[in-house]
Amino acid sequence: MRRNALLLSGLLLMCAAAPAYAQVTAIAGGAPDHITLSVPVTASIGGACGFKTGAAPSGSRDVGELNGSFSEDFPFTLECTGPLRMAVVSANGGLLASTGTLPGGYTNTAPYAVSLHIEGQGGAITNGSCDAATLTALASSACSFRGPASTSQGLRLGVASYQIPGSYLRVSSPGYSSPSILVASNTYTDTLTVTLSASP
Amino acid sequence: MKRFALAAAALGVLAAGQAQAATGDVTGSVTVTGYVTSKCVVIPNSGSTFSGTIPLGELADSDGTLRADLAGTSAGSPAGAVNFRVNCNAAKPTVTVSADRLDNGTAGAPSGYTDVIDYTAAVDADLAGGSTESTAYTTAASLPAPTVQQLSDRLANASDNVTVKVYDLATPSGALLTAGSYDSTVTVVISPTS
Repeated sequence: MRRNALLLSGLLLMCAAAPAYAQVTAIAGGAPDHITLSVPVTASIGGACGFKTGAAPSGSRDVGELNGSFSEDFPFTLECTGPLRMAVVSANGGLLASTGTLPGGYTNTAPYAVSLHIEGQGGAITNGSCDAATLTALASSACSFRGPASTSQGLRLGVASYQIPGSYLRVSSPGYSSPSILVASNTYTDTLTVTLSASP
Repeated sequence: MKRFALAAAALGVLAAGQAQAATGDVTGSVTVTGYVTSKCVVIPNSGSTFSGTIPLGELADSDGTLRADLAGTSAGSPAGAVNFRVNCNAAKPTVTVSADRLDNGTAGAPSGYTDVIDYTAAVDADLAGGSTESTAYTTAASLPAPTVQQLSDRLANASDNVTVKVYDLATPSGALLTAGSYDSTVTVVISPTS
Protein backbone atom coordinates (compact mmCIF):
# COMPACT_ATOMS: atom_id res chain seq x y z
CA MET A 1 0.00 0.00 0.00
CA ARG A 2 1.19 3.23 -1.05
CA ARG A 3 1.01 5.64 1.60
CA ASN A 4 1.04 9.22 1.01
CA ALA A 5 2.68 10.93 3.70
CA LEU A 6 2.49 14.51 4.31
CA LEU A 7 5.41 15.83 5.99
CA LEU A 8 5.07 19.15 7.44
CA SER A 9 8.00 20.65 8.92
CA GLY A 10 7.44 23.79 10.70
CA LEU A 11 10.48 25.80 11.10
CA LEU A 12 9.68 28.77 13.04
CA LEU A 13 12.12 31.54 13.14
CA MET A 14 10.35 33.80 15.41
CA CYS A 15 11.24 36.56 17.71
CA ALA A 16 13.51 35.62 20.52
CA ALA A 17 10.62 35.74 22.92
CA ALA A 18 8.71 33.03 21.02
CA PRO A 19 8.72 29.58 22.68
CA ALA A 20 10.89 26.85 21.17
CA TYR A 21 9.10 24.01 19.37
CA ALA A 22 10.26 20.42 18.89
CA GLN A 23 10.04 19.15 15.31
CA VAL A 24 6.77 17.26 14.78
CA THR A 25 5.98 14.92 11.86
CA ALA A 26 2.34 14.37 10.89
CA ILE A 27 1.43 11.22 8.89
CA ALA A 28 -1.90 10.72 7.10
CA GLY A 29 -3.87 8.11 8.99
CA GLY A 30 -1.27 8.11 11.66
CA ALA A 31 -0.93 9.89 14.86
CA PRO A 32 -0.63 12.64 14.88
CA ASP A 33 -2.26 13.22 11.52
CA HIS A 34 -1.95 16.98 11.75
CA ILE A 35 0.05 19.62 13.37
CA THR A 36 -0.91 23.04 14.52
CA LEU A 37 1.15 25.98 13.45
CA SER A 38 1.00 28.97 15.69
CA VAL A 39 2.09 32.19 14.07
CA PRO A 40 1.87 35.12 16.44
CA VAL A 41 1.29 38.42 14.78
CA THR A 42 1.95 41.56 16.80
CA ALA A 43 1.65 45.20 15.93
CA SER A 44 1.20 48.50 17.62
CA ILE A 45 -0.03 51.91 16.70
CA GLY A 46 2.85 54.33 17.10
CA GLY A 47 0.60 57.26 16.62
CA ALA A 48 -0.05 59.62 13.77
CA CYS A 49 1.84 62.84 14.22
CA GLY A 50 1.73 66.05 12.29
CA PHE A 51 0.97 69.72 12.41
CA LYS A 52 -2.61 70.84 12.29
CA THR A 53 -3.41 72.03 8.81
CA GLY A 54 -2.34 75.63 8.48
CA ALA A 55 -0.76 75.61 11.93
CA ALA A 56 2.82 74.55 11.26
CA PRO A 57 5.58 76.93 12.28
CA SER A 58 6.06 79.07 9.20
CA GLY A 59 6.54 82.55 7.90
CA SER A 60 9.19 85.22 8.08
CA ARG A 61 9.91 87.66 10.88
CA ASP A 62 12.08 90.74 10.86
CA VAL A 63 13.58 90.97 14.33
CA GLY A 64 14.96 94.45 13.68
CA GLU A 65 18.29 95.96 14.65
CA LEU A 66 20.48 93.07 15.74
CA ASN A 67 22.56 95.02 18.23
CA GLY A 68 19.41 95.27 20.31
CA SER A 69 17.37 92.57 22.03
CA PHE A 70 14.55 90.72 20.32
CA SER A 71 12.11 87.89 20.91
CA GLU A 72 9.73 86.54 18.31
CA ASP A 73 7.40 83.53 18.52
CA PHE A 74 6.27 81.21 15.77
CA PRO A 75 3.19 79.41 17.17
CA PHE A 76 2.16 75.95 15.99
CA THR A 77 -0.45 73.35 16.79
CA LEU A 78 0.18 69.63 16.76
CA GLU A 79 -2.03 66.73 15.88
CA CYS A 80 -0.09 63.90 17.45
CA THR A 81 -1.95 60.99 18.98
CA GLY A 82 1.05 59.81 20.95
CA PRO A 83 4.46 60.87 22.23
CA LEU A 84 6.52 62.86 19.79
CA ARG A 85 9.85 64.46 19.13
CA MET A 86 10.48 67.82 17.51
CA ALA A 87 13.81 68.99 16.13
CA VAL A 88 15.21 72.06 14.40
CA VAL A 89 17.97 72.68 11.87
CA SER A 90 19.45 76.14 11.33
CA ALA A 91 20.70 76.88 7.84
CA ASN A 92 23.29 79.44 8.92
CA GLY A 93 23.86 78.88 12.62
CA GLY A 94 22.97 82.49 13.28
CA LEU A 95 21.72 85.48 11.39
CA LEU A 96 24.17 85.69 8.52
CA ALA A 97 24.79 88.71 6.30
CA SER A 98 26.04 88.31 2.78
CA THR A 99 29.26 90.26 2.92
CA GLY A 100 32.67 89.85 1.49
CA THR A 101 35.67 88.69 3.40
CA LEU A 102 35.93 90.48 6.71
CA PRO A 103 39.08 91.52 8.56
CA GLY A 104 39.78 90.38 12.07
CA GLY A 105 37.61 92.01 14.69
CA TYR A 106 34.48 91.99 12.52
CA THR A 107 31.73 89.45 12.02
CA ASN A 108 28.71 89.01 9.78
CA THR A 109 26.97 86.45 11.97
CA ALA A 110 24.66 87.52 14.76
CA PRO A 111 24.05 84.79 17.34
CA TYR A 112 20.60 84.09 18.72
CA ALA A 113 18.75 81.43 20.68
CA VAL A 114 16.10 79.01 19.46
CA SER A 115 13.60 77.74 21.99
CA LEU A 116 10.87 75.13 21.72
CA HIS A 117 7.82 75.09 23.95
CA ILE A 118 5.49 72.16 23.36
CA GLU A 119 2.24 71.64 25.20
CA GLY A 120 0.53 68.25 25.44
CA GLN A 121 -2.43 66.45 26.90
CA GLY A 122 -3.11 66.87 30.59
CA GLY A 123 -1.07 70.02 30.90
CA ALA A 124 2.18 68.34 29.99
CA ILE A 125 4.85 70.75 28.77
CA THR A 126 8.37 70.32 27.48
CA ASN A 127 10.86 73.10 26.85
CA GLY A 128 14.27 73.35 25.27
CA SER A 129 16.61 76.12 24.21
CA CYS A 130 19.85 76.16 22.26
CA ASP A 131 22.05 78.61 20.42
CA ALA A 132 21.38 78.63 16.70
CA ALA A 133 25.07 77.85 16.18
CA THR A 134 24.48 74.39 17.64
CA LEU A 135 21.60 73.66 15.29
CA THR A 136 23.47 73.49 12.01
CA ALA A 137 23.85 70.19 10.26
CA LEU A 138 27.61 70.34 10.78
CA ALA A 139 27.76 71.75 14.29
CA SER A 140 30.45 69.92 16.23
CA SER A 141 28.71 70.53 19.53
CA ALA A 142 25.14 69.93 18.58
CA CYS A 143 22.02 70.94 20.43
CA SER A 144 20.00 68.09 21.89
CA PHE A 145 17.14 68.90 19.55
CA ARG A 146 19.09 69.45 16.38
CA GLY A 147 17.16 67.93 13.53
CA PRO A 148 16.03 66.06 11.70
CA ALA A 149 13.62 64.54 14.17
CA SER A 150 13.44 60.79 14.58
CA THR A 151 12.11 58.36 17.14
CA SER A 152 15.26 59.00 19.14
CA GLN A 153 16.30 62.53 18.17
CA GLY A 154 14.66 65.77 19.13
CA LEU A 155 12.92 67.38 22.05
CA ARG A 156 10.50 64.77 23.35
CA LEU A 157 6.99 65.23 24.63
CA GLY A 158 5.97 62.01 26.35
CA VAL A 159 2.26 62.39 25.80
CA ALA A 160 -0.04 63.16 22.92
CA SER A 161 -0.65 66.69 21.77
CA TYR A 162 -3.75 66.99 19.67
CA GLN A 163 -4.98 70.44 18.76
CA ILE A 164 -3.73 71.90 22.03
CA PRO A 165 -2.88 75.59 21.74
CA GLY A 166 0.13 77.28 23.25
CA SER A 167 3.10 75.64 21.57
CA TYR A 168 5.66 77.83 19.90
CA LEU A 169 9.15 78.16 18.51
CA ARG A 170 10.90 81.27 19.80
CA VAL A 171 13.91 83.12 18.42
CA SER A 172 15.53 85.58 20.79
CA SER A 173 18.61 87.52 21.76
CA PRO A 174 19.42 89.69 24.77
CA GLY A 175 21.36 91.98 22.45
CA TYR A 176 24.63 91.55 20.66
CA SER A 177 27.59 91.69 23.04
CA SER A 178 30.50 89.85 21.45
CA PRO A 179 33.84 91.63 21.02
CA SER A 180 33.74 91.42 17.24
CA ILE A 181 31.93 94.27 15.54
CA LEU A 182 28.74 93.28 13.76
CA VAL A 183 29.08 94.74 10.28
CA ALA A 184 26.36 96.95 8.90
CA SER A 185 24.01 95.13 6.54
CA ASN A 186 20.32 94.70 5.86
CA THR A 187 20.70 91.13 4.65
CA TYR A 188 20.99 89.22 7.92
CA THR A 189 18.93 86.04 7.64
CA ASP A 190 18.55 82.47 8.81
CA THR A 191 16.11 79.69 8.03
CA LEU A 192 14.96 77.17 10.60
CA THR A 193 13.59 73.84 9.46
CA VAL A 194 11.37 72.15 12.03
CA THR A 195 10.74 68.41 11.79
CA LEU A 196 8.42 66.22 13.77
CA SER A 197 8.35 62.50 14.47
CA ALA A 198 6.25 60.12 16.49
CA SER A 199 8.30 58.80 19.39
CA PRO A 200 6.69 55.74 20.97
CA MET B 1 6.58 5.27 -0.75
CA LYS B 2 6.27 8.60 -2.12
CA ARG B 3 6.32 11.31 0.21
CA PHE B 4 5.46 14.84 -0.27
CA ALA B 5 7.02 17.14 2.00
CA LEU B 6 5.95 20.56 2.67
CA ALA B 7 8.26 22.69 4.52
CA ALA B 8 6.84 25.75 5.87
CA ALA B 9 9.12 28.26 7.27
CA ALA B 10 7.77 31.20 8.96
CA LEU B 11 10.17 34.04 9.29
CA GLY B 12 8.67 36.67 11.37
CA VAL B 13 10.38 39.98 11.73
CA LEU B 14 8.12 42.04 13.77
CA ALA B 15 9.10 45.49 14.77
CA ALA B 16 7.03 46.08 17.78
CA GLY B 17 6.21 49.67 18.38
CA GLN B 18 7.13 51.02 14.96
CA ALA B 19 5.90 54.57 14.51
CA GLN B 20 3.22 55.19 12.01
CA ALA B 21 4.77 58.44 11.00
CA ALA B 22 8.05 58.13 9.17
CA THR B 23 10.93 59.97 10.78
CA GLY B 24 11.32 63.60 9.87
CA ASP B 25 8.40 63.53 7.49
CA VAL B 26 6.57 66.50 8.94
CA THR B 27 8.22 69.81 8.41
CA GLY B 28 7.79 73.47 9.16
CA SER B 29 10.07 76.22 7.97
CA VAL B 30 10.54 79.71 9.33
CA THR B 31 12.76 82.53 8.19
CA VAL B 32 14.28 85.07 10.52
CA THR B 33 15.70 88.32 9.20
CA GLY B 34 17.30 91.36 10.76
CA TYR B 35 19.55 94.26 10.02
CA VAL B 36 22.43 96.22 11.45
CA THR B 37 22.47 99.93 10.75
CA SER B 38 25.67 101.73 9.91
CA LYS B 39 27.05 103.47 12.91
CA CYS B 40 30.16 104.69 14.66
CA VAL B 41 30.29 104.74 18.43
CA VAL B 42 32.81 105.86 20.98
CA ILE B 43 34.10 103.17 23.29
CA PRO B 44 33.45 102.92 26.17
CA ASN B 45 29.78 103.67 26.69
CA SER B 46 28.88 103.61 23.01
CA GLY B 47 28.44 107.35 22.96
CA SER B 48 28.48 109.65 19.98
CA THR B 49 31.01 112.18 21.18
CA PHE B 50 34.55 112.09 22.44
CA SER B 51 36.69 114.81 23.88
CA GLY B 52 40.13 115.32 25.25
CA THR B 53 42.79 117.91 25.84
CA ILE B 54 46.20 118.32 24.29
CA PRO B 55 48.19 120.48 26.73
CA LEU B 56 51.08 122.22 25.02
CA GLY B 57 52.33 124.10 28.06
CA GLU B 58 54.38 127.24 27.71
CA LEU B 59 54.23 128.35 24.11
CA ALA B 60 56.99 130.96 24.09
CA ASP B 61 60.71 130.65 24.25
CA SER B 62 62.72 132.81 26.59
CA ASP B 63 62.97 135.46 23.86
CA GLY B 64 59.20 135.70 23.59
CA THR B 65 58.82 134.05 20.22
CA LEU B 66 57.15 130.69 19.59
CA ARG B 67 59.08 127.83 21.09
CA ALA B 68 61.36 126.39 18.47
CA ASP B 69 60.58 122.82 19.46
CA LEU B 70 56.87 123.45 18.83
CA ALA B 71 57.55 125.12 15.50
CA GLY B 72 59.66 122.20 14.47
CA THR B 73 57.14 119.47 15.18
CA SER B 74 55.85 117.22 12.42
CA ALA B 75 53.29 114.52 11.74
CA GLY B 76 55.77 111.91 12.84
CA SER B 77 56.80 113.87 15.90
CA PRO B 78 53.80 115.97 16.93
CA ALA B 79 53.63 118.61 19.63
CA GLY B 80 50.86 116.71 21.34
CA ALA B 81 48.33 113.94 20.77
CA VAL B 82 45.39 112.22 22.38
CA ASN B 83 43.94 108.79 21.63
CA PHE B 84 40.40 107.50 21.41
CA ARG B 85 38.62 104.33 20.49
CA VAL B 86 35.89 104.52 17.90
CA ASN B 87 34.05 101.46 16.59
CA CYS B 88 32.49 101.71 13.17
CA ASN B 89 30.62 98.84 11.53
CA ALA B 90 30.73 100.38 8.07
CA ALA B 91 33.26 99.33 5.50
CA LYS B 92 34.94 102.69 4.82
CA PRO B 93 34.20 105.42 7.35
CA THR B 94 34.72 109.06 6.50
CA VAL B 95 36.88 111.34 8.63
CA THR B 96 36.29 115.09 8.68
CA VAL B 97 38.73 117.41 10.43
CA SER B 98 38.67 121.14 11.10
CA ALA B 99 40.17 123.46 13.70
CA ASP B 100 40.54 127.07 14.61
CA ARG B 101 43.74 128.94 15.39
CA LEU B 102 45.31 128.93 18.83
CA ASP B 103 44.15 132.29 20.12
CA ASN B 104 44.57 134.05 23.44
CA GLY B 105 41.30 135.90 23.09
CA THR B 106 42.67 139.43 23.15
CA ALA B 107 41.36 142.10 20.84
CA GLY B 108 44.45 142.28 18.68
CA ALA B 109 48.21 142.42 18.80
CA PRO B 110 50.37 145.42 17.96
CA SER B 111 52.92 145.30 15.20
CA GLY B 112 55.69 142.80 15.93
CA TYR B 113 53.45 140.80 18.19
CA THR B 114 50.90 138.05 17.63
CA ASP B 115 48.11 136.56 19.66
CA VAL B 116 47.33 133.68 17.34
CA ILE B 117 49.23 130.57 16.35
CA ASP B 118 48.50 128.50 13.31
CA TYR B 119 49.07 124.78 13.37
CA THR B 120 48.16 121.53 11.69
CA ALA B 121 45.67 119.15 13.27
CA ALA B 122 45.51 115.59 12.03
CA VAL B 123 43.54 112.44 12.73
CA ASP B 124 45.37 109.16 12.40
CA ALA B 125 43.01 106.24 11.85
CA ASP B 126 44.33 102.73 12.43
CA LEU B 127 42.81 100.44 9.84
CA ALA B 128 41.79 96.81 10.13
CA GLY B 129 44.38 95.84 7.57
CA GLY B 130 47.18 97.13 9.77
CA SER B 131 47.96 100.44 8.10
CA THR B 132 47.24 103.97 9.29
CA GLU B 133 45.64 106.77 7.28
CA SER B 134 45.96 110.39 8.29
CA THR B 135 43.58 113.25 7.62
CA ALA B 136 45.13 116.68 8.19
CA TYR B 137 43.88 120.25 8.43
CA THR B 138 45.98 123.42 8.69
CA THR B 139 44.62 126.61 10.16
CA ALA B 140 45.06 130.03 8.59
CA ALA B 141 43.79 133.58 8.97
CA SER B 142 40.97 132.59 6.70
CA LEU B 143 40.04 129.12 7.82
CA PRO B 144 39.87 126.61 4.97
CA ALA B 145 37.00 124.20 4.55
CA PRO B 146 37.16 121.07 6.65
CA THR B 147 39.28 118.26 5.30
CA VAL B 148 37.19 115.23 4.39
CA GLN B 149 38.64 111.83 3.66
CA GLN B 150 37.01 108.46 3.21
CA LEU B 151 39.17 105.74 4.66
CA SER B 152 40.22 102.92 2.38
CA ASP B 153 39.39 100.17 4.89
CA ARG B 154 37.51 99.47 8.08
CA LEU B 155 38.75 100.97 11.30
CA ALA B 156 40.73 98.52 13.37
CA ASN B 157 38.66 96.95 16.12
CA ALA B 158 41.22 97.91 18.71
CA SER B 159 41.83 100.35 21.52
CA ASP B 160 43.31 103.75 20.64
CA ASN B 161 42.46 103.30 16.99
CA VAL B 162 41.99 107.05 16.50
CA THR B 163 44.69 109.59 17.32
CA VAL B 164 44.19 113.33 17.21
CA LYS B 165 47.43 115.24 17.07
CA VAL B 166 48.76 118.76 16.48
CA TYR B 167 52.06 119.81 14.98
CA ASP B 168 53.89 122.39 12.90
CA LEU B 169 52.89 125.39 14.99
CA ALA B 170 53.64 128.68 13.28
CA THR B 171 53.58 132.44 13.83
CA PRO B 172 54.78 135.32 11.65
CA SER B 173 58.56 135.27 11.63
CA GLY B 174 60.05 136.90 14.69
CA ALA B 175 56.66 137.80 16.18
CA LEU B 176 56.41 137.96 19.94
CA LEU B 177 53.55 136.05 21.57
CA THR B 178 51.35 138.20 23.69
CA ALA B 179 50.81 136.90 27.16
CA GLY B 180 47.65 134.99 27.88
CA SER B 181 45.98 131.66 27.71
CA TYR B 182 45.79 130.23 24.24
CA ASP B 183 43.23 127.70 23.24
CA SER B 184 41.83 126.12 20.15
CA THR B 185 39.44 123.36 19.23
CA VAL B 186 39.98 120.52 16.80
CA THR B 187 36.71 119.15 15.53
CA VAL B 188 36.67 115.56 14.29
CA VAL B 189 33.69 113.82 12.75
CA ILE B 190 33.85 110.13 11.90
CA SER B 191 30.93 108.98 9.83
CA PRO B 192 29.92 105.40 8.98
CA THR B 193 29.87 105.73 5.24
CA SER B 194 30.13 102.46 3.39
